[in-house]
Amino acid sequence: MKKLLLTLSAVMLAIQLSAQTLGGGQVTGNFQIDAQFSRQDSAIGAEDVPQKMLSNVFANLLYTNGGFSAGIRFESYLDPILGFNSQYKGAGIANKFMSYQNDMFEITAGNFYDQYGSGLIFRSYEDRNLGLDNAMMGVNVKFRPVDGIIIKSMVGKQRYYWDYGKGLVRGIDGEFSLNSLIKNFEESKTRITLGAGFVSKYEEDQTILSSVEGYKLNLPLNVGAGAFRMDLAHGNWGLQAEYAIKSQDPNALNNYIYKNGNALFVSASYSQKGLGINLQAKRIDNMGFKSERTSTGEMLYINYIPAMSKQHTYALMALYPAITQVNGEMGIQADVTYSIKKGTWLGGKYGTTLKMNYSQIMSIDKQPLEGYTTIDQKGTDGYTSDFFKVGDELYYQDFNVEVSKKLSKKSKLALTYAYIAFNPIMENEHGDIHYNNVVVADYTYKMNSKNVLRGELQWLKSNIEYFDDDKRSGDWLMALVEWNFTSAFFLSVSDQYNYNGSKEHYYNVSVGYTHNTTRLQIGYGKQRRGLLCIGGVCREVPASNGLMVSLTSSF
Amino acid sequence: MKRLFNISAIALALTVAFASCDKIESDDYLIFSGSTGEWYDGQPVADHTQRLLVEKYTGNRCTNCPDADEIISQIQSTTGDKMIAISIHAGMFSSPIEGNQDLRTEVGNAWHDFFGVSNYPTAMINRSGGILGHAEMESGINAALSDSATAKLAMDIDTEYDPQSRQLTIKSNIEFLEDIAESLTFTILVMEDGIIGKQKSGSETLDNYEFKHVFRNTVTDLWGIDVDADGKTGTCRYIELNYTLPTEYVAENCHIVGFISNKETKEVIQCAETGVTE
Amino acid sequence: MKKLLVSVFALFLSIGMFAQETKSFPTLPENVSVKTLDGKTVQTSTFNNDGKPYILSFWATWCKPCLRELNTIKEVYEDWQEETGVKIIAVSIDDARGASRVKPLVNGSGWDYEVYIDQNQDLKRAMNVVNVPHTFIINGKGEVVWQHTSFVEGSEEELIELVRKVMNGEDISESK
Repeated sequence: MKKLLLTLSAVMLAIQLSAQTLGGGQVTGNFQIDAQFSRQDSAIGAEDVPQKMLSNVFANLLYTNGGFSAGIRFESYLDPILGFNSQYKGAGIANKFMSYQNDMFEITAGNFYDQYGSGLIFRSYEDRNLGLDNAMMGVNVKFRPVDGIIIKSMVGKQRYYWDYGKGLVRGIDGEFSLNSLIKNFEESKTRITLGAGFVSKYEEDQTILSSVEGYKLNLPLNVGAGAFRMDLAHGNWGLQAEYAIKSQDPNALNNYIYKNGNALFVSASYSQKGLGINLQAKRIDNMGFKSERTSTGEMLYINYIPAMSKQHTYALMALYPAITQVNGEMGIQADVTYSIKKGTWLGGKYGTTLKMNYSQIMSIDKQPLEGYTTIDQKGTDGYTSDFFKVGDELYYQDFNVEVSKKLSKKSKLALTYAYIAFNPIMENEHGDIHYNNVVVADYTYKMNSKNVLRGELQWLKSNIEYFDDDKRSGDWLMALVEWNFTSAFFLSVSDQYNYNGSKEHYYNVSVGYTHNTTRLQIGYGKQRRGLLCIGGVCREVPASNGLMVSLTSSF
Repeated sequence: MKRLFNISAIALALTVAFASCDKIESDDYLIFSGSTGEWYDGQPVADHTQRLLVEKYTGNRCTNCPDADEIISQIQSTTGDKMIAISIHAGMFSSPIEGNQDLRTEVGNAWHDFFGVSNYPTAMINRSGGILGHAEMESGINAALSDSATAKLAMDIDTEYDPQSRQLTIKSNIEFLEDIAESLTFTILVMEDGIIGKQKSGSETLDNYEFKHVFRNTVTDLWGIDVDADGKTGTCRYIELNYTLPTEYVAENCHIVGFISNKETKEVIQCAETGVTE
Repeated sequence: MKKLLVSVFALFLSIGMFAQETKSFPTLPENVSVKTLDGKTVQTSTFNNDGKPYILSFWATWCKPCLRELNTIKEVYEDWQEETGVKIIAVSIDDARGASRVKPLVNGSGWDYEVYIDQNQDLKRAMNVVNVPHTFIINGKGEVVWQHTSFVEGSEEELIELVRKVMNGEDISESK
């Protein structure tokens, strides 16, 4: 650890010196240090932490000089804070790259992040809060021969904690903006962008036994996925669509079935000043695409399929999040933002903003193959599915309305109501569907130009009685008070109370100090065991009781 | 516009070149899982010793398992090659302790489930006579060893190994010493000694524990391949199998074990062993 | 533990030396691609405000403080533009889940900002943004003269005050 830090300091000094001698170039970077001190609390299920202190650290350094850039990332997990996979344990240079670009092309060697279209067939990304990083290690090339065309191609392996996955991932993608390419179309109000991509994964053969005695699976060593997409905009209107297919890919996620996968995503929107409407629909069928066929868990995904529902940020609304079902789901979503004008009866003196959102996610239709009584039999095509037929299982439903209004020069109020239906099958648990009603009031009061007070009251009423296996179950009340002294300092006190259930209080006191881009935050309190979800991808966070210190900075 | 077409054409060509996804016809989803060899007329086998195959189910988190290892070592030191022991890491105590290699195998799990093993350590002798618990293990094995029944079938096994390519050729002769009417199968497996890791023992965790006789994989299908023979006394058959030793196995520590068993009852009637590099 | 602290200190010292010596301001990364709300890909080299400073703000549809920041500025944006000619470029870091909601949200909320989507977070990484909201002031020469994370009601007044100073040619790098 010590050695590493010293090395890192030396590297930084070296870069700094070379930056000066090479003439020009700039070094920027950022870092984050999270330290956790948690103690045993059997009431909430927090386990003893024998190490006393856990810490996650990362530091990015980026050097740019004209079209050239290079970067390294140092990471240390000694030991990983609660909820991070223990395979992260260790410290070292996790990420490194060199890149050169000009107007025509860009080449990156080392670790890179990229995506084709919305990511249905390829997205390499990281989410630090989830402890998820599937950075590619290899080469990525982008080519812009003329304005309006971008061709990308890449090859590499995916990061797997401190190692790389077994599968080799290759891809090519093209995006064409017709307005730039076709004469007389340049100034058109209609803007059309088309794109297509193809990704292929190669993985060595291995023995995976079938359920038939004496036979193993004949595995495809190369698995391909292709997608077509279009983005159409005409004035206030917009239409986006992407369709992807995946070749035979028996893997641990789909119980080693040979059925092709496919996914369709359509989004239509209309907006004018003060009104925005967005409608979405999607259908996912057997689209779990990983670079190792035996891998389960959140790592090694080649593609990314987000949940089609609003990402809630209020704690109790985010209690039961939607989780993408890569093996099959279909969903719709409608989202409306409407600003009521100032001076009208509803708008009042300052105007009112209304937001409405509805989403529903269902299973897809799956029928057993001829001669079988159940679906998903290993070493078969698995099932047949009628594309347009909706399955009979409800996974998730969310209807929510938010009204936010500036009441006076000094105060603002936002009221939100949500009705959320949640099927535990999304977390691979069995049980009745939870139907929850959640109400949140969020009030901001500006005392003067420097002091701002904010308070939240949240109430969740569930139809499910509390049971010990799920510490979220039962009914909840939450209150939060936050005092801000300019944007430099804040103090917040909150309590989540499982009043109809475990009777447990999850209190938290946090203080934060921000100076330009440096932010220090210290929190003390209890954390409920649960899922932390971002974009439909989730990680389990164990219960904890103690102190959390976080320092971030960029320079 | 023309340029656009040119570029599109190149992109399309690239895509096609890239379009490597393997299509497998539905008739071919399943393939025979073992290495298959053909049976030929063989040579008589010199050694007519009746050997026992002892399969021990174990796990690195199983606190009584080191004791069972000790029992097996003790017996082996006195009986020499009359007994072939293999350790199968499967079941609830076999998930790897942090830092340990995962010694579980698909085949081991399948056998574990098939024979209904649910306690650890346990052992099976020749896949017959039930599962012996920790307490009966020593007496059970000794009793079986003292049974002086003569062998109905003799077998030998020999290997040729090329360290460069890690190609292994396994050669085996079987000789029917009595008439055998039942259908027989022939199974070849790889086991490895000298794997170091952590092992629970009583209330403590032993570092640098040596796992011996670790079952790694079968060369044939997990239930063996059919023996092509008429079953008459005096018949000799010969088979040759090819296998690439996976790089994670240490060749010097690997042994090849072969056994002949009853296809229906799974009872093992004879077995033989040899080192890979011997 | 003591040694560890020494090493950490060494690390910070070297970081500190950077901050000390590189007094010249970093410039906005030039060749990073982002998308307009109509789906067109543009390079960051096209970001400008005719030689006047502009505010670059990273946000996301799921980030409450970001929405509060952009909504608060909306109230005073017309006055700001009249007085200083400042422009706001709002870069959304939403992924596929939120990206198609960006345009309806921007219009529905009545924001007159120049909005881009950085779906692959290339610009976010290039500018070392860790959390949103993260706000930059870029001067007429394309140099990053000030940056700040987090937002609370009232900070918009500090922000415009800093823009005024930049227009007067004052060095604001030491301002908080």
